[in-house]
Amino acid sequence: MTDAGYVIGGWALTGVVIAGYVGRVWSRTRRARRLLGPDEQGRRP
Amino acid sequence: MQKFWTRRGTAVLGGLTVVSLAVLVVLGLFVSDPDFQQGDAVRLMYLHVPAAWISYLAYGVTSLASALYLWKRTRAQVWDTLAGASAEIGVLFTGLTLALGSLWGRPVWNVWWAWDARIVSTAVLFFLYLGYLALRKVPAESAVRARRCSIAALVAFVDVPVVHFSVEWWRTLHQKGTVFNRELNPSIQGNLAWALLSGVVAFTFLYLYLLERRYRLALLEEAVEGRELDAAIAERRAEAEAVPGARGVPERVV
Repeated sequence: MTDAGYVIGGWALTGVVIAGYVGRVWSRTRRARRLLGPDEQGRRP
Repeated sequence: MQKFWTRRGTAVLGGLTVVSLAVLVVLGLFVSDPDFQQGDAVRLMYLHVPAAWISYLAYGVTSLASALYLWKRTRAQVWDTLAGASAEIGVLFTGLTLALGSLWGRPVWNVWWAWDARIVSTAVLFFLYLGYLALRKVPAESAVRARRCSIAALVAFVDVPVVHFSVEWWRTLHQKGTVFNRELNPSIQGNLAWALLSGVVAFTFLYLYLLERRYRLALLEEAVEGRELDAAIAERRAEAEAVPGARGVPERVV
């Protein structure tokens, strides 16, 4: 593999990992808000 | 805390994160010259070094929050929640540091892995905080769990200076500090230095944004857990009261 292959692989991996984590946090937040209902959603930390 | 975490603050932080990541992509992939020795492989440094920096920062925040929980005068559940949120991000970025280091090592050193002091101590750090996250999942009363996790976080943090100074203390394949070396004389200049700096800034904003989101998620999940527990206790109490002659279920003590 050329240097460019490792560079593209590394940058792509970083993008996928960060996007995956953001997506996971986002979906768990939505689920928790849905379970709590509208009354407790408005209470921000 | 409520005043600090405003919706506008979150939006501003998110915007800064997106903009700084875009600047990093432009500087790191298009503006930066190839290194005279490493060629284009140096472009992996703009992710690897900031990811390692975020590991240090995340574990530093975890340790500080854990110490504040253990100190009686500042003890509050919020510190334990913050410590857990920061540690999870730290583990994510330590894993990324190791993976990027491996991808960088293959073209530069011709190996994916080496039993080198810096690499091994970083892997140990990864597993220490993975263990810390596992410890947080062990069922226990919240104060007991918070105390044991705070102690574990402080013990695990001992490895952070070992990771950082490993390249000074032992002969390693890994290069010495590029910026924070013993002479405090950065061995990087020109547009390579700007690309590295933009990586550090972008990842710092990203860390702060992820921490805010993860911390808020932890609070929501704690609220859901408490609600489910209340519902389960109410159900058991109703069952017990339905049985003739039963003494009922004691009041919630959690």
